[in-house]
Amino acid sequence: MSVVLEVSGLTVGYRVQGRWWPALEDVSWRLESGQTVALVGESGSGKTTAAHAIVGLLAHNAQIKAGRIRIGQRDLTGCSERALSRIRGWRIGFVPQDPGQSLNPSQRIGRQVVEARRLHGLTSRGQTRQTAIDLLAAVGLDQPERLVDRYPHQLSGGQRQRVLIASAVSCDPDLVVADEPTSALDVTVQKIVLDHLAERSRSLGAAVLLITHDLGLAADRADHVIVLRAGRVVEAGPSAAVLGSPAEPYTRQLAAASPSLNSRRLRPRVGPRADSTSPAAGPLVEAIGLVKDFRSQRRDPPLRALDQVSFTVWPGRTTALVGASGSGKTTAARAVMRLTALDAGTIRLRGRDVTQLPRAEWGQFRRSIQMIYQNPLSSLDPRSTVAELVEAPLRAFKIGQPADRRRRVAALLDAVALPGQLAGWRPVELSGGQCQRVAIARALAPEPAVLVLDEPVSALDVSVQDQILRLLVDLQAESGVGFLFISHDLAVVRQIGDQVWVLSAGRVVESGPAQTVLRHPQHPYTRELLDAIPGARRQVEA
Amino acid sequence: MIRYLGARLAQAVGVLWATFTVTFVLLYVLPQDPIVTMLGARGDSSSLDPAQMAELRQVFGFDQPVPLQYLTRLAAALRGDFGLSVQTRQPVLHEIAQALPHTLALAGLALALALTAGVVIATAASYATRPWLRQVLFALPPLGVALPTFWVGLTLSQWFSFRWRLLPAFGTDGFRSLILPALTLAVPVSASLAQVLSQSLIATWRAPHIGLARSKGARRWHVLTHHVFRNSLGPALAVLGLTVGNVLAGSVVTETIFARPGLGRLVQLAVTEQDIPVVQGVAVFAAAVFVVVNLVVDLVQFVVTPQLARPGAARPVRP
Repeated sequence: MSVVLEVSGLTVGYRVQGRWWPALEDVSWRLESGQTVALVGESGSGKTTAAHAIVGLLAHNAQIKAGRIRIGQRDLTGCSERALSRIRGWRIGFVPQDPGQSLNPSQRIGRQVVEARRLHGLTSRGQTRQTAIDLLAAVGLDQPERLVDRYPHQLSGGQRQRVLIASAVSCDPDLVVADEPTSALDVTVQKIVLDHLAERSRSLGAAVLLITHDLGLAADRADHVIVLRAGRVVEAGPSAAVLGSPAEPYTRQLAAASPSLNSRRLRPRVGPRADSTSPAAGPLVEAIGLVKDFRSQRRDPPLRALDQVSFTVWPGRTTALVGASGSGKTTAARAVMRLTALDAGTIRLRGRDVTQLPRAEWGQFRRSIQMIYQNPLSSLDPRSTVAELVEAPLRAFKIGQPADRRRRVAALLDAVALPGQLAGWRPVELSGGQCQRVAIARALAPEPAVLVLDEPVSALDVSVQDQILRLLVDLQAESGVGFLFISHDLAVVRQIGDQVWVLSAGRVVESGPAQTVLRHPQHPYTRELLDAIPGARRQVEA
Repeated sequence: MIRYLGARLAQAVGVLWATFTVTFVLLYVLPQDPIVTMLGARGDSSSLDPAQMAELRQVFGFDQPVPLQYLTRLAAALRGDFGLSVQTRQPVLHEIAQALPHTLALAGLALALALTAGVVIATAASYATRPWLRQVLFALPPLGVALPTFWVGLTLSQWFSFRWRLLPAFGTDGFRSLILPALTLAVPVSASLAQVLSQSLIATWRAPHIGLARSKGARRWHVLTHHVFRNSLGPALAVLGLTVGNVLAGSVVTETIFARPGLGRLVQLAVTEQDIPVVQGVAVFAAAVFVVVNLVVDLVQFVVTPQLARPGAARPVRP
């Protein structure tokens, strides 16, 4: 086994407005051929900076202060731009994070897959098409001879990520650097993509450097794990040892936060609030036989997004709708919010049919059902301050006098554990987790009976994910609000769901208490979703 | 795509009809007796001969009721007949046809200069790595937009014609006389083009797929020509379509400063002399040019942006 990559004493920082911000300090590790090493850490830990330093994609204001990055015998830190461009793509392949934006939108797939080979003179113009077909076939894409002539927007996210893998390994590199290659994908697609990445690099004998925030995924895929925190290596070693019996408290904390390694239902740390009404006996929301068709073109047959979907939400409990993208779960949530018109079906809120609501009662309906979105930043008005955002529903529903509202906003910010001095800040100045806390405070402001949560933690880091889930569980116990929780990630649902409905292609394939459905899945699709959870292999062994 | 084109064509016809109608209302119906307006520029309206006025009224059809006038003129305009010029008694279309070649030469050269300068400045500004050079190049387009056309024209002729005697200051004496007016006209056009294109180029340079191309071993020039440029064209093309309107408007000032014949001069004279049919004819003609150019720009957008021509196939369409 030869050493493919050797990073020693790497120190990288960014210059922002004249000030120096270190991102990596004295980081060292080595990677042997055929090995997979995972760099694990939260956002801001420096893991992406490390990947970019190796691939040569550091931002203009970044600088390597000290250390070496050796690929084989060459030290990249001393290379000229011209010499680097000969190594990139040829000796190092790079799989980027976001498949949606990492392909040139106006170039056909075939040309992009072969581009690295063309740049390094490995494929002639005449062979381009055939080489592209072979490369796409090697990552398991169907009908590669048709895909080569497509444009990126005509492919699904999983297909695009596999195209990017095909491109990264096209020159038979010694090292593949994969920066969060699947964080933008559904769990089921994630598994397929990672399988192909592992299979391709194994057959080519390439080493893989996997950058991820998900310890479960690292445990599944890597031989070695390096845990980074604030630019320094906290712990490193074989994955089984590091994750099985972490020596450092920070690693333990990360492992505890990782939903894929943590299968227990979260329990609230608080009891019901004294003034909260005791949960009513009956269900809050009953959705019965929902049907929704989408028509894109008049001549095309309609796409049935919801097909006779029924589910129930109880007060103080969490109903989880799970499924891959395209399964109709978000459409169901929007239907309950009355944000989308239904083709058939009934929705009852506290026994009252809300599909035929008279205009006068809309305000009351909107007040009793609120929503939280996946992307915390884009669901907050960038021009408003935190206090204005949380106060907005109070003003809209004309609740209380200005002084009462101010007190209520302060109480809500306190309830979601946001420091009071953030009240004057604007969303861009907050972290993702803080933004989601603001969104939760805003949704709870009019004291709704039901909260619809559409993938509320999918865009967040695992440790932040864990904090938000715990907060939601506590808030639910306090206020007795019913949750309709939409997620593709069964690992998250395991932590918060009471009742689970599994959706596939617009139909409910399985439903029941979370314990039963997740422990003893009956439908093959549910089993597939469960298998896709990273870290599953390790748990079976444990 | 065919349905889209059909809709755009219908829109274009609508714009032309609206231009005709608005100019008709403004010029013929609103202010006062158009005959007095026409003659008023030359003499005192009280001293006009009633018989001559009646005759003119008949020649220009103003003795008819207004709706009938409108329909007659609209029908004539559809055949390309915008009536007679009051000053020359020539058909308006003939006047336009006579002025057009001069303006076409001027506008053509100006557009060519503007496109070249705009694209080169914007590309260089986004490609340059030295901070001071970027600063200078990025400062040029806003400067060009801010300079008034008449000032640029006067300054250029001041230096090149009167001080250095390199180029003629006015007239239509061959290609040499075209250079200064074309330069004058090109400055604001290239500046607004460069402004939009440079912003768009910067945004594309920051796109993740550019980073990926670099990681494949592509050098910056290859990245620019293969990945950045085409993906930055969209907004610049849209501006180019609108800019053609600026060129027409700019030609009024430029042709006046450099004493050149052309559409701009024709409009300027027609307005000062209250030659209503000519003003309306040129307005509708300008609208037609504008509409056609923007239709062409839309078609080019289809070629440049594959997402427009080919809807996503793999993904189900969601609202």
